[in-house]
Amino acid sequence: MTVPTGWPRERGTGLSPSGQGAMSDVRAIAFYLPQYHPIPENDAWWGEGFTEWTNVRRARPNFRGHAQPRAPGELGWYDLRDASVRAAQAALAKAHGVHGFCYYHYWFNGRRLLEQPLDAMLASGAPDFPFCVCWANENWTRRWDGLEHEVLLAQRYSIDDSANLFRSLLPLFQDPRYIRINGRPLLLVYKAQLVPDLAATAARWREMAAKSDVGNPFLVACETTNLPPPATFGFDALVEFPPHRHQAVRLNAMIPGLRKDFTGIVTSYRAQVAQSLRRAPGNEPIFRCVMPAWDNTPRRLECATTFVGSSPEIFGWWVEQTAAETRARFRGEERLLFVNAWNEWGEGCYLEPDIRYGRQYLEAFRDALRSKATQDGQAVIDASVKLSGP
Amino acid sequence: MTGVVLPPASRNSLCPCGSGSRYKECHGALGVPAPAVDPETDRRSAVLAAALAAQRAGDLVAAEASYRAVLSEVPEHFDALHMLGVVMLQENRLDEAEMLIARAVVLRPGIVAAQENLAIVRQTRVALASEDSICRAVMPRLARLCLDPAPMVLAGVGARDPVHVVFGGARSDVLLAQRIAAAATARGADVEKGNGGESGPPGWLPIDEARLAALADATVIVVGLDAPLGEWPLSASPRSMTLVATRDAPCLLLERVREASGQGRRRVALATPDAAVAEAALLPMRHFASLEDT
Repeated sequence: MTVPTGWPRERGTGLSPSGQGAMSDVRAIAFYLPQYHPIPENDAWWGEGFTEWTNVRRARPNFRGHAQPRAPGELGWYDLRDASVRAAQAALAKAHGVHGFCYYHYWFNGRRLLEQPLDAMLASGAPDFPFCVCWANENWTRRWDGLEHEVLLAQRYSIDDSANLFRSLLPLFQDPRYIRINGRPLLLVYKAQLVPDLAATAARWREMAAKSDVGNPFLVACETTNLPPPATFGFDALVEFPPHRHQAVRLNAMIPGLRKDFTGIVTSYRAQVAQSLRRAPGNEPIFRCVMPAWDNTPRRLECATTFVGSSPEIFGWWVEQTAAETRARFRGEERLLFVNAWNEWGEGCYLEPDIRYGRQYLEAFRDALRSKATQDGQAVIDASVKLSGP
Repeated sequence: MTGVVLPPASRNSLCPCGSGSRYKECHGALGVPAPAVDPETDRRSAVLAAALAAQRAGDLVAAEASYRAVLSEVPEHFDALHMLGVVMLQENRLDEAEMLIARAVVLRPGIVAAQENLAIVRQTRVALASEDSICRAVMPRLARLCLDPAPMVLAGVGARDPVHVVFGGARSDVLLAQRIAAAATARGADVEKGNGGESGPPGWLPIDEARLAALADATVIVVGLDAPLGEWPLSASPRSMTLVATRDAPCLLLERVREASGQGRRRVALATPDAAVAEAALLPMRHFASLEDT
């Protein structure tokens, strides 16, 4: 691949960010789900004591060899109100090359949900581990049961409400652990396309930031669908969000022992990797994102989408390719690589240790960031690997 | 991409493609015949109907046999070619699937279902070619899960030793599985045979996963790469675990090595009767000309 010049290079500082220089100057940020403690809303909607673990435990195999249910490894069925759990997560992440966590931030017109882990981390100063937030601006629905239209808590957008959200984030941006790019606090929006007056919202946020001296926010929209260039809606960059936008090859007919009432999709993890690497973002401001595996059987049961064929080796290879490419395309603190996710157990999408693999996905991740190919930032796609296809 | 469209029980039912039209007016227009109204009067229709029923029920072996019976009498039978091709697709035998469905499409170019199924086969082949390429690239990383050098298949097996031969291959691997089981028996081992695949040797019963999961100190030999092993290797503690590969299929090899290793809990011995497979493997793999040349 040719190394593009343009947006990332011109604006980069050329400096290595702090903290990870010895391993890789690519900073890896893992999405972090806080839904591992009971809250009154979930008690009411799903039953007493509901957490993400409730879904994880109920999953059953849909075909022969289907690795369900999942179960956590050394961290156990944790409760994120427990400070020692949060410390152990951060220690494990740091030891395996994860630079920081991106917390989902739930804001419904001033009402927050699942805020306790983030607030406790902020108040206590521990763990001492970099973080940023992603505004999870979806309606809260019964989607895990497939009832798409039953909205439990809806977003009612207005610029004033978005301004209130941003105001509530100002103390976070002042935290020394908050992840910044060249002094600018990194803020993600999960479904930016749902926000009316998005460009005006972004402009308002930038004004507010200028007045409060937290630095011009580096605004990133998640690619949950095809998005226009971010500059067209006042944002700085996009971040990929696999498996969103994946062109699924339906393997159902080829899966031995698939249950007869299965109405979901069994598709290929390796095809996801191939599609990711066939994309050549060039000098577009698009951060790469990888996923270790994906299977939402805990949430959707017989209607699940299941990616088969992941292994720590293939995941590690994907990380190596994307990290090398990130190093080649970006400069300094703009070298970000995202991971979906640190702990999306309900989607079978986690770096955390489980009972089958232990730490193998984490180790593959660490080794990929350390590998020579990554460090050299060259020969991004091995010439022997042919990624033809749809 | 749309899925394979299998005919519903009645041609008057809604088409499974989701169009909202009746099957006989949509994918079934002039296509696969409905189960014969009176099987006694049309033996061939009855065979096809039975084949289709078997295919819908997941019995691909019976379906294939029936379609082939029809083709042996009428080699250019559209429905038999088309649906046998779909069986091949379901069994991941994409070369044969493409050849059969392409012949069907030549016979009746206007049938949408056959055209779509041919497109699915071709797209799947292209996608899988990329996947093979990825699997070859990462294959050397699995060397840490493999014994090097790889021992012979029956290395160390003597009288009374417990040996489990697990069939996990395609039909062409049946003879090899039987040979391996016979060779172990000839050494006086206590041999158990199990079918973990779609079409094992005659008389081999389905594997007992709970029993395999509890295995301790047995020699386990898995013949063929096609069938998922399932989760029993995670908890089993065999004396040795051997995978016998019969064709060069990098993604299947990667998946089976991962499974057989108990996701990293033990090293796996790889062997093959085919020198070309050993050469292509990129992992330590023992080529054996005969089972008794140890």
